[in-house]
Amino acid sequence: MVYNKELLFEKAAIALREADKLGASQAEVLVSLSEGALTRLANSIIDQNVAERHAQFSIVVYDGKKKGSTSVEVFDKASLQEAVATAVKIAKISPENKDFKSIPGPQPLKPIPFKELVFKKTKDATPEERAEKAMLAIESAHAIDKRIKAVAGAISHGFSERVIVNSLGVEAYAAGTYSNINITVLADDGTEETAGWSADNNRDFSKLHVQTVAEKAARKAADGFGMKNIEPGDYEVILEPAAVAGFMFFMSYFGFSALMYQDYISFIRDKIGEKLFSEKFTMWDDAYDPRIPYRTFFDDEGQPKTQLELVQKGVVKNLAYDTLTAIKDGVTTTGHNARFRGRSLPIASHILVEEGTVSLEEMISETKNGILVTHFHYQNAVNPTKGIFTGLTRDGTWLVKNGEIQFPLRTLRYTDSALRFLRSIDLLGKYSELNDSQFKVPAMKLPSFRITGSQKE
Amino acid sequence: MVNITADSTLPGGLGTFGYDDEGVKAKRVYLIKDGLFVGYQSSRETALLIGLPESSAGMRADSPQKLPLIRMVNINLEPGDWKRDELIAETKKGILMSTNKSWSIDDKRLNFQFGTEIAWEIVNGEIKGLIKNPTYTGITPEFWGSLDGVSKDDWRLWGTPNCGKGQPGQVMYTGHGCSTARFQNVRVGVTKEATAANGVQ
Repeated sequence: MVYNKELLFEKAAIALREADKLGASQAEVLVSLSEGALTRLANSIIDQNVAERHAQFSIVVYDGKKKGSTSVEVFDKASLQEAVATAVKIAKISPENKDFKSIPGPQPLKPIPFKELVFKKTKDATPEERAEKAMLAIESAHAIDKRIKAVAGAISHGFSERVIVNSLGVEAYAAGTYSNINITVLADDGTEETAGWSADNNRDFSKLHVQTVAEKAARKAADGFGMKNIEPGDYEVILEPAAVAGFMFFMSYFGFSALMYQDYISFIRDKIGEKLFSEKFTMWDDAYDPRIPYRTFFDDEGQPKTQLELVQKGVVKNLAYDTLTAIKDGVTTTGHNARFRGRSLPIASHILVEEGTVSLEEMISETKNGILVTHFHYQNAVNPTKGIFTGLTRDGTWLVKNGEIQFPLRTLRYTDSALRFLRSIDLLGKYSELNDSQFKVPAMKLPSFRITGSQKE
Repeated sequence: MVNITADSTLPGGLGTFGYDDEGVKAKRVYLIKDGLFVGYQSSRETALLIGLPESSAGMRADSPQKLPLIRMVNINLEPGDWKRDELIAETKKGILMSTNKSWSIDDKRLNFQFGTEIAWEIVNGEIKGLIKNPTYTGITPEFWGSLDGVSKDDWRLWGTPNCGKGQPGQVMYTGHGCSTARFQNVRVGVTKEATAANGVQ
């Protein structure tokens, strides 16, 4: 394996020297090299192969409390210097951020061994290997049921290296591979079209559960015929892990980010230490946990990740901090800074929810009048201050009555407050062998979940 | 009454350009005309497949490294023939909503729900009290079928800088021109149900 650690540090050093020369009071640089490839399936054939390589450079400079930043995809010295000069110019004309005191200084990191983060089989994977997996997925899905009409989705993998350095001495380097398969299977019996979905993630491309994913998605599609609609209202709900993970992202982003808390957006504002959720609900963030598919050991400020208790037996415990929000609250960063959708903010993004022991079948048998959900589509916060989210069921939803699955359901919309529907949890499942999200969460059975829309067609 | 266009020629629009990323000159096409669905956004390839004479100039990539996708340009609700004040004055019992802040729609683009920044109650043609955290929800064809008035005097080309699409994902600027419009029998206020039960909030 060839790594580019020295090259990346060298590019970062050019930028820091230039920022100093141009009078920046502080500077922070992120330099990365990445490559990724993706094979797309549609109508049970491969219809697209793409590959990308990136050399990305971004700098944040400070002029006192004024901040400027630029991001470019060039690596030559003159272009890097120009990017720094532009950032300095932007800083000079930007408003002051009164909350800003300083970028972070260096802290000891606890590196995860490279052999656990970088897999040669992933880095060296070829289009032919992706095609083999695609064929396996297509054949496995079609073998499940004659009504399977089309297999769609994507198989992807990649490798990246990055350094984060700053003018106070932070120097962090990491490398890692990723791979993903996500499959949507369509089935058609001549009168109705149904869909099923499943996915897996792994740093090791050779360990993706291709057949399991394809068969699971195909079974869901095959079991989806005879769809009906139900009236909106209050139902018990069984959420498979992918559906739970969808919620947990929004819980983390809108609830437990110190920035959201400080901006009075969070639904746990002034409620730390209170018991807001079921005693069965324990959630924490741990970027070092081997059960998380994409582990890491520093955040986007080069600060060490910490294990962070978020909810312990229903009691709200902590917020995720980065340097800016931590200084404002007089605490230490928890190592959760992320550059996300154009912002820099703390997010707990390696979430685990404590598992139980109950199987999906047992959950179904314990349900009187409820719905079984594969996963959600297009979730969003409706009112984050009250923890109200919305979203739609997709790729396999069923009505469960008196312990038995009755019939599949057309698309349902939920609109409900996490402060309400997580106040009581009936049952928790075991972790799945599939990493169908980037979190590790179990299936859940909740006694009350609010459906606010139901499609008739 | 519903006229929706895809128009990449509008001056100043976030979805405005000279040529799309297949080299097709920017143009204005109707997607819905006088309430009838009349066309798709298309590419050179898909226009041929669905029997259109030419591409709608809808192909864009967010960087030279990405494959162009058919995606929104400036998608506009064309102005109607009402004045905004007339729409309000002729509303007996309604809600005037402004500025979306939350959005969600299903994969078939049928079941949608929006939350807005602010709203006011309209009673007998007059704006009354403020309504906090308003929401509206519906099924796309039913909702657009219930449109009964579009203003002509406050049409403006809005837009969004971060429309996401594709895998690997691409982020694009899109424009949305529209003016105040009135819809009948729209379901509002679903968040009340989310917090009302069990005495929790």
